Amino acid sequence: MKTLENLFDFPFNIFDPAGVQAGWLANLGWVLVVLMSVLIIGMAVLVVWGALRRRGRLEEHMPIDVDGGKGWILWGGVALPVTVLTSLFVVTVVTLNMLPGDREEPALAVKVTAHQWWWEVDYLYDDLPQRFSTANEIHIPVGQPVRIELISSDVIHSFWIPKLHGKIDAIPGHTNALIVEAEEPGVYRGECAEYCGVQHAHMRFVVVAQPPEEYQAWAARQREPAAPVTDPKLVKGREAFEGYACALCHSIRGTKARGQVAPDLTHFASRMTIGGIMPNTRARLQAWIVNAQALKPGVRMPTLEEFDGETLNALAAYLESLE
Amino acid sequence: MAHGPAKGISRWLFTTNHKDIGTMYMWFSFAMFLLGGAFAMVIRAELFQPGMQLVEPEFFNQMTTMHGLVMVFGAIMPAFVGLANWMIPLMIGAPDMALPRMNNWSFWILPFAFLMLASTFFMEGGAPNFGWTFYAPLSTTYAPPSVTFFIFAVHIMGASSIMGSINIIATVLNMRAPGMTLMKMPLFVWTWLITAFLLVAVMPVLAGAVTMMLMDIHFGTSFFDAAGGGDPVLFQHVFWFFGHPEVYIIILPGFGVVSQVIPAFSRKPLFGYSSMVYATASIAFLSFIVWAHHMFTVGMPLAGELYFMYATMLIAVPTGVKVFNWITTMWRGSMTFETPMLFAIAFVILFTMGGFTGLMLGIAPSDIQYHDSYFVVAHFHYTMVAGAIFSLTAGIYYWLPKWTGKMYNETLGKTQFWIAFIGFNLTFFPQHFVGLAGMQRRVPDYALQFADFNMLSSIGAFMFGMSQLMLLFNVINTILAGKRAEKDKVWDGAEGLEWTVPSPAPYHTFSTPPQVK
Ligand code: HEC
Ligand code: HEM
Ligand SMILES: [Cu+2]
Ligand SMILES: [Cu+2]
Repeated sequence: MKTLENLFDFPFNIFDPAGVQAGWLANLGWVLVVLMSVLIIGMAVLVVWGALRRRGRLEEHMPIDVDGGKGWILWGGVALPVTVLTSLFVVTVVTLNMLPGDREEPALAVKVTAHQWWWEVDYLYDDLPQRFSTANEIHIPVGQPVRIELISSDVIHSFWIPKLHGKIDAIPGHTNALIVEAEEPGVYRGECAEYCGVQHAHMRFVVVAQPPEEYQAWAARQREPAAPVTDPKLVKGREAFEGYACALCHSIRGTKARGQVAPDLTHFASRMTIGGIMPNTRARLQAWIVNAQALKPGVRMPTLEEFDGETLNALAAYLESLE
Repeated sequence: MAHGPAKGISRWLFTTNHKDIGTMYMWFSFAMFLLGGAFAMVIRAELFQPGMQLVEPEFFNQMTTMHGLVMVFGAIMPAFVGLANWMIPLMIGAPDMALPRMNNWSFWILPFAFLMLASTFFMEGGAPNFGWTFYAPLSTTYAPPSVTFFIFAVHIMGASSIMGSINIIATVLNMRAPGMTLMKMPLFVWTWLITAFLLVAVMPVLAGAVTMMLMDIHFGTSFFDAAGGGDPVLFQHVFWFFGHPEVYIIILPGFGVVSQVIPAFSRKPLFGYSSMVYATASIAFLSFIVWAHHMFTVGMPLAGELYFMYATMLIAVPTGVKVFNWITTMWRGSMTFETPMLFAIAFVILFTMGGFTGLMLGIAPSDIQYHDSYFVVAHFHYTMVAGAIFSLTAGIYYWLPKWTGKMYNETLGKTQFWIAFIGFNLTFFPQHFVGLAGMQRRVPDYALQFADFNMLSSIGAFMFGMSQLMLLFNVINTILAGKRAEKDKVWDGAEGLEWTVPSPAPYHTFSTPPQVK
């Protein structure tokens, strides 16, 4: 049994929120779940009771009071729904108001571009040299609102970090935005929630919420181009990357690789996952490079089986050195 | 005067008889139900355990897409049209449908539509794989070539539905027996009349949506292509403007069936008849103005969210009226619980539950958490399976003696009910929880933490599948070897013109219209 999904699992329960927005939504969720459960059970009991009260055929007893019970319709059919709905509406409007919207302008903005079946992440600092790009992994400082801007390069996807906020769609031709604020440090699972093709189930990402200093340190390192390599093996790896098709799709800042259609690999070794779905280990990386199709069928990265063992080794070693 | 049916195959090919056509609709829809059911079994088998075991993700996506399309357009809708064909003329005292030749045509184009749809499995690139809601641009720019055949199939289904509903409207408005005023019509006729208007209004919208897709794919337009100035969100508006009324097209005739069955086994007239009629009409009206509750995540302005949320909540009021009418009808009746009644009562309980979960989804800020999760899957199966399929089953058991003149096996019927009821809940109840915990829909693989609940779901699904084979067996067994029904009116509490004709209903009924007092 191949269980890709289970190799890598971070928490994502809606009812165990880790952020301000998700907290509000979870509270509303509890109100709804409890209220609806009570109503559903109440109705079921009423139906069964109403049905079982008088059993038997007409010979045994005539029905009584054929027209009685108008009160039922007024109370149950009109008054009850109207009260329940009105109070729900009020609770909801309150929640909507609590959700911080576009009113405040967060300091940090991240542009997320959804691709079939991976997430491009660009940090939009006002100061251009401060900007950088990564993939499938979003780091945010705890306790600060972060604005996520969402676009799509192909079909409709939906960006969802269950423990931080509800979904928002990434739609070609539209820019949508969401403000999230993590309250607890941690690593959370994110996923695509709009059906988007063959790898929809595996279009995942991770969100790392960390204390602001840690976040700053991370961002500072991501901003750097890839460190030059001297070790002959790594040099061979770099040359292989630049020489083979890799460089047409991927970029590694500081090298000749300047491709724009695939994840930026400048600091690939600092990422937790490969393709969002499995732990970033040497063995898996080699498997991915030669046959990504087997691990994530349909993926927009071709099968590249032409390497000899040595080159593959060097290539993997080089990518693993990109801290 | 009246003559019998033609001999051999030409009876079925050329028939203009409402009972023959009704029968064909019913058998066709059951065949589609089995086909769609088989797809569902593949889906549940793959989801029995986390990870990818049985099928490729690409094939899994074709399964979910075709399951939805076949069940909605092939199983539920034609089944209700079949019931309408059989029962509406009998219930209003008409000799046949108003437009019998068109009736033949509306049925016979359907098998071709589904043949064409099914043939896409053998085409290069495979069958449609973009979900039954076929959101652009996944269904246009990124679709397999078979999408063109899908579009053509949808056009034919739409034409069939439109012709069918024009026929129903014409029949109900023109062919009622003397004395059968509108407010005396059985509720099944009322709900179908209203449904038919819904169909005439929204099927052209669906046809428009797929035509725009066709143009985008083949003729260089960009209705839904952002690169050419179009907008994928437009597609969703158009689709759901059809789609939300569509869910009421599916359920309203079911309301009608249940409103016939419950009074019969409570031996009391339907409570609050006119409020039922008005409630149905208000639901139909409201169904046109709530469509964007399926689109709370596209990034709507706050005002839009509030409006669609509020309008959606309003639907709960007429729905509540209906549910309480059914309860009050049973209240202090003389109750017995034959198979049709069991299905009808289960319908009331489970459909109500689907309504409440719908309410949760209609609340914009909570929907952004539950949208496109298994919670939605649970919601709409409570409304479409426990709603439409259970009411259809109730109707089949209720009228089968009228159609065949024979009695079905009651023990088998009740057994089937309990297996279906338990199987259904075992399948879909746990899906509420996995959905609330964050499992997305339309995935062939899921997190380990959902393994137990998904296994339960799959076991329930196999049970439910089996119960449907029991229904099939019971029906065939009744036709071939059922005991003769002792009376024309098999149910002592049943009311209505259909029970005044012999069982089995002769080939031609009401050649001279009955007088309704
Ligand atoms: C046709 C373009 C293309 C070529 C050529 C290509 N890749 Fe990729 N690669 C992709 C895409 C697209 C992804 C993202 C796949 C996904 O996760 O869905 C990817 C993902 C990756 C990842 C995982 C990135 C991450 O952050 O998870 C690695 C590592 C990688 N490619 C290495 C390579 C190497 C090494 C080569 C050359 C041998 C190569 N790729 C050639 C398109 C390409
Ligand atoms: C009180 C009544 C109802 C309410 C308030 C309601 C509300 C909703 C909402 C808000 C959604 C969107 C959920 C989401 O995608 O996030 C939805 C989905 C759905 N509903 Fe209902 N609903 C009701 C009754 C019904 C009925 C009667 C049916 C069918 C017989 C139905 C069938 C569906 C279907 C098929 C979907 C899923 C569509 C898809 O594939 O995305 N609903 N409902
Ligand atoms: Cu997706
Ligand atoms: Cu809807």
